[in-house]
Parts: sequence; C-alpha cells; structure tokens
Amino acid sequence: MFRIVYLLVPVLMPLTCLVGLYLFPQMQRRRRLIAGGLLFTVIFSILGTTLQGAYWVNSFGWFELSLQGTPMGAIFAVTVGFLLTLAGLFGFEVIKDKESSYYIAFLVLFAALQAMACAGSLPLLLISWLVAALAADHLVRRSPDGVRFYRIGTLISSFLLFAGTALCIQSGTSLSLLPHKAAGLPDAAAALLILGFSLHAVVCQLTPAHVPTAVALHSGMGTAGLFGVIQVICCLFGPAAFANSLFLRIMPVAYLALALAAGIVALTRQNLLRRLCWLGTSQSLIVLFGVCTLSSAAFTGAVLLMILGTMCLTTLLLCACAFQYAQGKTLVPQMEGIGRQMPLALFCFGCASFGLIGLPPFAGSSARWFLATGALHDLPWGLIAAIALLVLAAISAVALLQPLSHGFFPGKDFEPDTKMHYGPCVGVTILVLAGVLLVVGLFPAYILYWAQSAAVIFA
Amino acid sequence: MEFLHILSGVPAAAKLILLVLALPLLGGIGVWGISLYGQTIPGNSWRDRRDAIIWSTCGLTLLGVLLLKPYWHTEFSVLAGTGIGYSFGVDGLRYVLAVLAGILWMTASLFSRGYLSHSSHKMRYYFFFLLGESGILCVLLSADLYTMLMGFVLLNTACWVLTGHLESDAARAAARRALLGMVAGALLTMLGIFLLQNMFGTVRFAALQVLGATCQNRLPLYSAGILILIGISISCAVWPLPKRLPSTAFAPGPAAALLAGAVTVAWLFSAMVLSGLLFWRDGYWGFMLVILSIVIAVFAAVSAVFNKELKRTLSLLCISQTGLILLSLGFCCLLGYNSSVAAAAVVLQTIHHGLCQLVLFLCAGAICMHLPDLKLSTIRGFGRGKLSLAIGFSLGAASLCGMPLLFGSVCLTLLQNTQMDFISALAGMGQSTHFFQGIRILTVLTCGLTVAAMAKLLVLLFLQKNEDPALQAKYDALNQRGISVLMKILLIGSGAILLLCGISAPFTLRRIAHSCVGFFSTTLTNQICVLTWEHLELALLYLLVGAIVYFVFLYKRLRPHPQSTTE
Repeated sequence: MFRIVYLLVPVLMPLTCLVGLYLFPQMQRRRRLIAGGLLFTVIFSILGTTLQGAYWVNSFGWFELSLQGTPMGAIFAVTVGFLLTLAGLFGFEVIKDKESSYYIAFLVLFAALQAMACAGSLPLLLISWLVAALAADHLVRRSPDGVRFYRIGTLISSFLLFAGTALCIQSGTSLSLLPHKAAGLPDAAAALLILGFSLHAVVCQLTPAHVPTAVALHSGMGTAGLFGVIQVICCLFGPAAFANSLFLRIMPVAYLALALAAGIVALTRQNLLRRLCWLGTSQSLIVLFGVCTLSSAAFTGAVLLMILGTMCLTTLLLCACAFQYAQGKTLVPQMEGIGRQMPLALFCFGCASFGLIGLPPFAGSSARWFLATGALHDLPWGLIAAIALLVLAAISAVALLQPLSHGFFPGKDFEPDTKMHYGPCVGVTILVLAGVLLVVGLFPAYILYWAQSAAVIFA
Repeated sequence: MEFLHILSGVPAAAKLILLVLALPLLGGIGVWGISLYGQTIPGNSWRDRRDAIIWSTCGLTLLGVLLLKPYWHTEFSVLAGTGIGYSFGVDGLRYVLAVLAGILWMTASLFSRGYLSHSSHKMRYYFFFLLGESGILCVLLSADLYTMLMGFVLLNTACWVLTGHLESDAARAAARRALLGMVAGALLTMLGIFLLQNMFGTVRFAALQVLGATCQNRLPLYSAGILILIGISISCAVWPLPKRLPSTAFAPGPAAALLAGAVTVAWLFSAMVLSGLLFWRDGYWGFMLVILSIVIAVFAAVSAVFNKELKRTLSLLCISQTGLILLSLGFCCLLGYNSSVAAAAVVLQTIHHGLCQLVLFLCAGAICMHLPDLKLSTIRGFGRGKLSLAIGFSLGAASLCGMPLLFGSVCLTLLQNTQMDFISALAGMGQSTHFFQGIRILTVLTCGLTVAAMAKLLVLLFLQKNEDPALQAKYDALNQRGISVLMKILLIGSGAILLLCGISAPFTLRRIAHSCVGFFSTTLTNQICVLTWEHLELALLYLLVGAIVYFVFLYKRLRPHPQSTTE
C-alpha cells in the first residue's frame, strides 16, 4: 500500500510546484523549481511502472474514486511526463511573455494528465481529462488562431463523453476501469466515448499553436485522447464486448481512410508546423486504427506508435520551432541550407523523420512491423491495410524528406546568411530526444515489453 | 543497461560481430568529434589525426571481419523473443563478401585523402562513408530479412549523402532520387517481409529454405519475393535502369567506386538469399531471373556502348555485369542439386564485380579530379603518359571483358559452362533448347558489347590525342604530379589483384568458391582452370563481337576531327 505514493507523487508534485511559483518571485528560481519538479515527477512515473492493480477504492454510489496501476497507464504517464518535461525545458528559452501564466497552465495540465494515467474509474478519468482540457485551453489562448477551433472541438467532445458516461450510469453497471470487468454496458455508450476521445485527440493535433504549446497539445492532450480510447476499449468494456460489434468493424476502415486523407492534406501544406500537425493527425488515426482492430499484435503496434510516433513528432515540432526561433524560417521552401546553419537540429530532424516514416533501425519501425503483421494476421482485409500503412509511410516520407533534402544540400554556391542563435535549453532538448529515439530504435526491447504487457488483454 | 544485458548473454562470435558493426559508427563519431575540435585550433595537424582515425577504423574493421573465420556457421539473435529482433551470422559466403566489403572500404578510404584534398565538408563525407561500412556489414552479416533491411537503410542513407556530396545541381537531383528510391524501396521490401512473416511466422534465413520449399500456396510467396527483390533493387539504384545507377557519376570518385562495387554486391547478396534459400530449386523463379537478367545485361551493355560520359558508361557496364551475375543465379535455381558450377560462378562473379568496379571507378576518380566533366570529348587523351592509370584501367577493363589469365575470364567461363550444363541437361530430357541457346548467344553479345564499350574508353583515354592541343598539353603536364604516389600504388595494386586472382585461380578462387557454395546447399567438385582452349575460344569470340560492334558503330564517331590530327 505504501507504493501508492508512486501514483500520487506525479499528480501532486506539479501542483506543489504551483505553490512554489508564488513563493519565488524570481523567474530564474521558478525555472529551477519547475525543472526539478518535472524531473522528480518523471522519476516517480517510472517508479509507478512497477505497480499493478487497484490501490485505493472508495465508492460513492456510481462515483468510484479509485487509483490503479496498469501497464497502459504507466506507458502513458512516462511518455507524457518525459515529453512534457522536455517541452517545459525548451520553453525556458522560447517563452518570452507571460511566462508565469504559461507555466501555471502547463503544470496543471501535467498534473491532470498524470491523474488520467492512474484513474481507476471512468468518472475520475473524465474529470482529469476535463481539467487537462481546460488547462490546455489556457495554453491555446496564447495563439489566438486556434482558440475557436479548439473550444468547439472540446465542447463537442465533452458532450459526446458526458452523454456516453450518462448512458453508462443509466445502465447501473460499475464504471471501474479495472481490466476484465463484467459486461453489461450499452454499445451506444462505447461508441460515444470512443468518438469523444478520438475527436479530441484529432482536434488537439490540428489546433494551430506555437511551440511548445503545440507539444503540450500534441504530445499531452492528443495522446490523452488516444489513451482514453484505449481505456474505454480495454478496461471499461473489455475487448470481448466488441467481438461482434458493427461499430468496431467500421471504425478501423474509417480511421485508416481518414489517416490517408490527413497525410495527403499534410503534403499540401507549405508551413512546416502545419505539415507536422497534419502528419501528427495521421499518426493518431493510425494508432486508433490499431486499437480498434482488437488484434493483439496490431494493438502492440498501436501502443508502440503512440509512444514512438509521439516522440518523433515532438522532436520534429521542437526542431521546427528551433528553425523558426533561430532563423525565422517557417515555410518548407525556406529550409534550403538550414543544415549549414543548424546542422545538429537538422540531424535530429532527420532521425525523427526516418523514425516517423518507420524505416529500421529508427524508432517507429517496430510499431509499423507489429501494426502491419497484426493487420495481415487478424483482419480479413489485412493486405489492403498493410499496403495502406506503407502508403501512409510513403506520404510521411515525401512530406518530411523534402525539407531534409533541401536542408542538407543547398547547392555549391549557398552562403549561410546568419549563424544559429539558440541556447542550451533548445539544443540539449532536441539532442536528448534524438538520442533517445536512436537508442529506442536500436533497442526497443523495454518499450516493446511494456506494449506487449498492455496487449495481454487481447490474447 | 539494455545493451550491457544483451552483451552478457551472447557468445564471443556475437560480440565480435557486434564490434565489427559498431566500429565504423564509433569511428564516424570520432571523425565528427575531431573535426569539431579541429575547427577550434590553428594549424592542420588535426587533419592527419582525422585521417588516421578513418584508416585505423577501416583497418580494424577489416581485421575484425578477418577474425570471424573461426566462427563460421555461427548465428545469434539480439532481442529474440520480442517478436522483432536482429539476427546475425557468419558462413563462407557472408565471410568472403564481408572481407571484400572491408577491402573496398579500406582502399576507398586511402584513396579519399588525395581525392578530397581540395573538397569541402569532409566531416560529412567521412561520417557517412563510415556509416555506409556499418550498413553494408550489417547487410552481409545479417541472418534474417529484417536485419538485412536495416542494413540496407543505413547503407542507402550513406549513399544518399555521398551522392549529393559535391552539391552540383545534378548531384543534388541525383541525391534526391537516391533518397526517394531508398524510402520507396525500403517500404516495398517491408511489405514483402510482412507477407513472409505472416506466412511463415519468421524471416530468418535458416528457416526460409525449408519453409519456402514446402510452401504450397506459392502465389503469396512469389509476391513477397518479387516485392523484396524489386524493393531492394530500387533502393540500391539497380532498377529502373536508365535513371538510377548512373547517378553514381555525381558522387566523388572513391564513393562512386563503393556505390558501384559494394552496394551492388550487397544487392546481389539479397538476391542470393532469395534465390538460394527462399526459392531454391524453384524453376519458375529461376526462369524469371534468367529473362530479367538477360534483359538487364543486354540493355545496359547497349546503353554503355553509346553513352558519352565516362562514369555513366562504367555505371552501365556495372549494371550489365550485375545482369550476368543474376543470370548465373537464375541458372543456379534451374539446375537445383547440380548447380555447384553455377553457384561458384555466382560467388566468383560477385567478388570479381566488386574488385573490378573498385579499380575502374578509382581510375575514373583519378581522372575526374582534374577535369570539369567526364564527357568523352573532354577526357580524350587524358591518360597518355600516365602509366599507373593505364595499368590499373587496362587490367580492370581486360578483366571485365573476360580476357585470359584475369579474374573475369574465369567467371565468364564458369557462366558459359553453367549454360552448357543446363542446355545439355535439357537436351538429355528431350526438351527444346532453342530458348536457352538464344540466352547463350545474348550472353556472348553482352560480353562483346562490353568489349566494345571498354575499347571505346581505352582508345579515347590512352591512344587518341585531344582535339584541343592546349588541353592536351595541360593533360601532359599532369603526367608527373597529377596523381599522388599513394593513389598510383592503389590503382596498380587494385588492378594487380585481378591478375593475381586470375593466375592463381585453381588455388585461390577454387578455395573461395568451395567455401561459399555451401550457402546454396551444394558442394563444388569441379576444378577451376586458368588457361584452357575454352578460355581462349571465349575471349576470341568476345573480341570478335566487340570488334564488329566497335568498327561498325563507334569507330567513325570516335575518330578525331581531321584538323586535330594534323599535328
């Protein structure tokens, strides 16, 4: 029971940092506090991976207040914790105005996502998600372009999620998220909950925002939406409940088609950040496809893609931000010769690009492997799905290799007009991420072990 | 921690293989480090240290590969049991090809110093140069298709950067094509591997032969095989013919030698894996290979004859040779258990191909160091008075044309013997042999076309004078100081290897072939001869065809204008 602190500390630590923000007026001290708090949280998230099962259960009628440790929750907590910590460090250099208000929202979002990871019941999951969505709304407000889009998307998602929850409550069955629970929940509730979380994941990916807010949205809230879908399918209902579900037969096709469409739209975007947003959407939809196939191998691939794809995309976003921050370059044609000015950043961009495409030995290849072999093995239209996955990889390749190729080979006569101007926070962050991607790509065993542990439920 | 855990559970052979794979990468990081450090200190002493790191990395890697000999028939997996792992192994064929790759990289690294003395971005060049070595060794020492694909991605990433290194518009366009080819090829290969994994549950070489032979549902098997073959061909720039491999023309000389020699060796190894394991004794696959290969060989040889640029001509001849090797592989599948000669032909042709492309492209590199372009009109007369260049190029060219006493003669004779064996076997069974007689004639035609193309280059480079006397005078002035001593040694040495191998064929080449044909589940019992009437007869035939083609199609075109010959 003592080990419950592994679950509580990641939630409470960011909130404690919030208090610290008021105690220390100097920004430098605040930054140290935030950095320390985030790193501490990540360490406890990693320790939380040792937990298994429910740790605290209190029922108040249908409202069950419980915490639990699951492989999926641990994966989500560590991934989101690691990426948001790096985004936070990146922000120390990039965020210039209203820094305090930014970090307050950021820390609340961080705590809420950690709470989602250990939520043991649907109401707790929803409350955490709602808090995170509100905190994200505060972050989105920093770039006014996306506020309306995000709010409408969040409103529709909330409506779907609360309607689904209401249907679940009406059925009188337990809303616990412990795996292998009894069936009896209505199919319509499942559809509403899955659509709600999926929609919000996509909305978060597509919302225009500046980096590192974009990272908080993509890696934080986007992944939270995917995690929500996984929790609903695997824990709330259980895969067996969907064995003959028409909804889950249609959804993989729909997700794959939408992923293809998003990939094609990405190709048409000349703004690098927007292009990455659309690619992120495509990746999220592939994750949802893998989850909805209800195949053990494809689920493993989906979880791997959720982790590795998000890491790759975060690296790409941070690199794109570094290009913009140091050189003021945002459009793909402007990337000509960027490799001369920022060789390390473009090298990291290249590693993440190959990872997102899914070429071995880069991170992301293992995800494609399991997704495709799972689809081939368990779906009647598996060959089409495998080809579609490879077409998507090709689309990603075209979208990402264009800036890479222009950036590395600008031509013999190219003279760099300016030198790079970014500090250690930016450089170290992207370097750490690229290093982790290379190591994880070469040695995916531990992440694979986690993903396969999470996929046991389908066996 | 994970890495240490992996190392604790593997035998000595596995550690050595991992070390061999990691060494070039570490060397690349070392080069990067010392180049960054060098930019902060005055003087050029760090450049020598950088070159020392590169040479010692290539040398140690070659040594490491050589030390693998006691561990033949060893296989091991990293991360086995997770459903996706890396498998490596050594046997006769893989050992010989890995040693060949080590030699090619060592020679190219030595040649690079002089070649790149005035080039910029050397750090980038050397980093990816060494990454390419890791990649090719990963391909050649792999024991499953997924690991092989991983090696190809590393190798082709290096090729992409090396192709675009000079950053001319043409080089950049070629690099872009190489990058797209790499990704498209890798994705197609992945689809083929997914299909095989779905069918068999494994893609390990050790299991493929049995599973391929007993597989009843052949259509998905052929689909997977074709996807993998096409995918790797695209990523290695062997296919489609007219556009891709000639892009090696834009890479710096030593890199071009590796692209033409080593990368195609890696590609041929993948073709051997498919044909020697997955489709072993599969007549349909063999027949498809025969048709495909003869089309490639003839088409590329014809293109080479009429091409008007040195490196492109060499690249096209390289493709033509690749076609002939694929032809032997096709006969290997057709002959089944009696394929020991065909298997020996495949192995020796592959080794010959790597060595021959090395010497020819190094010679091309030595030429293009001093010239703005390699058009035939520009290179005319450049080789006059340059003995080392003449020896190296002539030996490479003569070997490629199958002249007696050289390595190439042994290979082409084995190929002809293979074809004769198959035709005799068909005749013995009472079946028509017209088609394969036609293939034999086309093979002779290909070799004749190769002779014509090579004669074109030799005449232009070493016999004729340039139409511009001033330019010729400039070329003549380079005779003493144009090529460094190290480069001269490398040119003559790499050419001399072809002669030495040819002369000592009954001992060296037979031994090599004997140790390699086990990969094709056969044993070599035949002798390999150096100089027989058969060798002479074939050489005369090739010369005759080549002379006809040369005098009919090329002689008038290559003749210098009358005003330039008046001197």
